[in-house]
Amino acid sequence: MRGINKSYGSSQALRDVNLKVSTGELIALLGPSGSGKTTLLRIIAGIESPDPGGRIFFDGTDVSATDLGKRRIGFVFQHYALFKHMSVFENIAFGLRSKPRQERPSNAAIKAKVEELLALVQLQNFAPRYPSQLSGGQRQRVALARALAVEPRVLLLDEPFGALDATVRRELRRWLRKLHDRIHVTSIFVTHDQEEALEVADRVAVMNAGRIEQFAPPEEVYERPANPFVYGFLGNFNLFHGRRDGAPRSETPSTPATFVRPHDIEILRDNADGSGIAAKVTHIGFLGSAVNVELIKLDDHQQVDAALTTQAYRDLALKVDQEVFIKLRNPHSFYEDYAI
Amino acid sequence: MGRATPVIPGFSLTLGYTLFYLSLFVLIPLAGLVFKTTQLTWGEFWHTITDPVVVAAFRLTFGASALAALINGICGLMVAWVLVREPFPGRKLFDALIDFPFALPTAVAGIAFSTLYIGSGWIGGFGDHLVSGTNWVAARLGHPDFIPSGALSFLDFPLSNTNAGIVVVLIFVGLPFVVRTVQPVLQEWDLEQEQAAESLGANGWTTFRRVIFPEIFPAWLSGMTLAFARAIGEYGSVIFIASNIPGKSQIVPLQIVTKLDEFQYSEATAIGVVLLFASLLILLAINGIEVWARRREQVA
Repeated sequence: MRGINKSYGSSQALRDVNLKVSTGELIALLGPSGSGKTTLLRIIAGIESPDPGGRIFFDGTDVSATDLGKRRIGFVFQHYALFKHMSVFENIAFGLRSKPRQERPSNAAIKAKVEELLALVQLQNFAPRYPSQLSGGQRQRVALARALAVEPRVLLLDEPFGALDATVRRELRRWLRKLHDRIHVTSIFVTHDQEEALEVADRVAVMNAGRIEQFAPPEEVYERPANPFVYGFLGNFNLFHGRRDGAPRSETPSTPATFVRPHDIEILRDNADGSGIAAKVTHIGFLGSAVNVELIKLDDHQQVDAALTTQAYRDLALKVDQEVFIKLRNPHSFYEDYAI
Repeated sequence: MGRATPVIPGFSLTLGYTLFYLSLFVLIPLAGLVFKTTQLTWGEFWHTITDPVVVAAFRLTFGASALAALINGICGLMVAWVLVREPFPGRKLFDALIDFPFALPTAVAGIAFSTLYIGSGWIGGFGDHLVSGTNWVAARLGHPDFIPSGALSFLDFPLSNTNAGIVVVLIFVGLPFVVRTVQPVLQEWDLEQEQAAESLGANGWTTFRRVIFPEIFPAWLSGMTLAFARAIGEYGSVIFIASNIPGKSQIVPLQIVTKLDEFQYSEATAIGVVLLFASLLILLAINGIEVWARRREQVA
């Protein structure tokens, strides 16, 4: 597949979205609810059609006018949409049995294919069961196997782990990553969970209000966010208005806003080189693996959240009401015309 | 259902009430029917129910009811589908009209249908009416007869006094059942199932046959069963449209009434008992299919 390129006219749901996905990639569409990510996925699938002018290409061919059934995509629905009256086996075999007579594989070939897929999703012994007898994670894997049975050019997953509890979710997303490493089918999945997107995807498209704000590998999205929205959506942050101490004086008249992650706030007991900002500890929250420290800057009484490793916290021996100095590591400045 | 905390308190009271209610309105009258029949000897009983006229009536009642139920099954499914899935102006009105056959006295329906379907009725003589109407307009415009009389007689449907007429009125009385049983299932239907089937390359027909129909099958079958059962007992509308010739176009309920008119009460109940047990067997068989169909998706 060379790429998908689509623009979506004046509609509110999606605004001029362009996206190019390479063959074999695993892409996450990440965004808050209402950002248009599911709409985009359904348009790629052909369940919904874009405004006139929008174009979708698979492998360089325009499929915009091709029906859902002929696009050769695999779609995994958020609530699986398994066929309740069919066994797991029949669910997976459905796509093969639905082919026109001359293309339809023999029963033996269907059986072999379904068994291969069942092994792939690790449900070998579940073939005769019905969807109502399966757990959520198992259903999700059946839905995935069903979508893969027709050997899709693109696999599309709508909030694939949305309906599962946290443990199963974490397990299943690692499993999906491993599966993708084995079969290398171009995949796009929708999620609102930044951790999920960062962990699983090759590249992440961060969406907001119908636009793709940034489309880059997870590290880049996290380390070099394109704008305050991306920065804010990917994790907690501290926002400093006005010019930071030691920052190069900007040519632009507007004041920059500076973003710093809590774990990039360094706490020092003394201000050895004079670049620290004086602050006072107001609260300490012990989480086990990390410690959240709330501070107040002494100059403008702005609250600052810091996250320390337990080790660093012990070394500092912090107390509430203690006066310390903070330093900002890895700060990001954006100009204020980007409202958040 | 947890046995520990029943939803309705006083289990023995409610069970007792249910049994009493059923006995009062169903079991006791039916027992009376069977009891009255036992006044006949086996020979008399056998003679009554194997009388060629009675056998023909059974054949007609079950045949016409089954045919009407089947037609209602197919058409009712389409009506339910259109009412749920295709928004059109006046949908609410049509939806309300579906229940009409429940409320209308069936004798009134029978008279209306037989008037429409007699040779000179609107539908019974549709072709002839069309010819005379056209020629009337032609005469007004100063033309001679536009269409020769009798040219459109193939458009006449004189179904009164035929057994086809019986099926027509039975379709009318059974119409709401299939629509009303299938409708809620279609309303609850999850469109994603269809989209999933389509994304797997299934065409519309395959999707309907393998994905949608199995889901609505139990409801559809019980709708047809109800329509069928209703048609077996239907009397009022049928006697107006049927020619009621013994051995040819008499339905079982009419046979029973005829026997009663001749003061042959035991013979009448004998026919009633056979009708009762035949219906019971058919209903049980259909219920069996339904249970089997439902169980496939709910083995939990």
